[in-house]
Amino acid sequence: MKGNAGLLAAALLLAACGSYPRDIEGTRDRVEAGRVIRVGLFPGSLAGPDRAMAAVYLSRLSRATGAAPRIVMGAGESLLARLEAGELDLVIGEIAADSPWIDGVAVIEPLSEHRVNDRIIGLSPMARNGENRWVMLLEREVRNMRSGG
Amino acid sequence: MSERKGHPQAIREDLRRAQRLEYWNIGWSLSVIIAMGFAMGGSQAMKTAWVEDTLGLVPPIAFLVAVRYEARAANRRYHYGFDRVNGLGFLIAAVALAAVGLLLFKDSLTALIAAEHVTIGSVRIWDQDVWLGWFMLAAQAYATIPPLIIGHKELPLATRLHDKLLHTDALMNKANWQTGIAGFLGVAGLGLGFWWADSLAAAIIALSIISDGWNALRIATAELVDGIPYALGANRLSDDAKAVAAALQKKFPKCRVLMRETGRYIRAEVVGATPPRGFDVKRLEIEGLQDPWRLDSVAFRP
Repeated sequence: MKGNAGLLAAALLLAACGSYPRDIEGTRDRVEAGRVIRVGLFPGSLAGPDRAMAAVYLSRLSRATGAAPRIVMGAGESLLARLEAGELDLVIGEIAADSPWIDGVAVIEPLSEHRVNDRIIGLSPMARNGENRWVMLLEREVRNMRSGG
Repeated sequence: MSERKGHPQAIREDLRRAQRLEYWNIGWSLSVIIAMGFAMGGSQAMKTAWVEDTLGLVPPIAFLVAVRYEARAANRRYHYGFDRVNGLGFLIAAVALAAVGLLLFKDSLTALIAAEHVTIGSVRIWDQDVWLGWFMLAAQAYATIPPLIIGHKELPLATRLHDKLLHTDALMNKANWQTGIAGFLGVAGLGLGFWWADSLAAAIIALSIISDGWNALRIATAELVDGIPYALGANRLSDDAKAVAAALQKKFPKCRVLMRETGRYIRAEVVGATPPRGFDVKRLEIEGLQDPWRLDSVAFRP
């Protein structure tokens, strides 16, 4: 039973920490300290309303972090590979629910989605895996945007 | 071997207690499996712990089935009764324990080598974004409690009943609560930004589970190939068997005494002697034999 008391104490201690969970590679701290969000955009998927939605989303992130987006355009595969390697903080683009990249990067819930035949394609922000504090912020802003908050 | 129906009077009450405990064990294990299933998300350690909890159902089910069979009388097809069903259940439980250890070790090693960074997202509840890791921590903390209590209660019963299957279940419960703590520390460490915490803790505990499983597997195999009666949880002759061997050797000094174990019972054979007139194993005085019910039969081979 001593073990469980220890677990409870550890949980309470962690709850007391404001910055919990933390990012494994410190993305959010770096974004806030450097005042820059390195963003990759898929050019082909950003036309019409999707482009406007991505712009609104980025401005929300800017407000939340105090950082300005520095945008890079490129092909999906190369941007996601750069995201995985930590060269980008965020990628926004269309991704299918069954894409092989689903496990390779953290795909946030979509800003919008549409169906192409049997596939659901979402316009989603994507982050590097393990950046849990950063991912929570990205999720919060998507939810706020979708709920009009 | 025994052709009797039912269990010896001396162990009936303990067996009833052990059966009740195993029903509780199954019930609590199911509640843990459900809680972990809802909370596991993308965490590899949580998934492995969930598989382990599910495999943890094998020993209690094997025990309940074995106890029922063991009580059956010998019949036309099974002339020697069903004492060895316990040994069969023990082998199944030992395989499950070893498999859990190997599975956990493989997963944690793969995650360590690949330097896997696990993402745990959040969920919105009443306008608050709550990190899913908190649910995982709660599920893991809950998952440590039932096996800790049940395993602790099983150990003295397993000792009194000389039940290796029940003992293996206690080891399985130990593995479960240790994994629960490893999983808790893993998720908590992940929250602190230590990607390796999860896999490293799991790998260390997996090695201890593999060791327990390997030991159980060796003893279970020895029983099935008519090895000597082993002490509970140890790779040596049991004290009861030592006492039986010494008493028979004293009574038949020029003969060889052979022994084997069937389930919880000891069977002895005296080679080079005929049974003395009126020999009754139940009236044989054996110094140091803690539980006389364990000596089921003494056979003679002239």
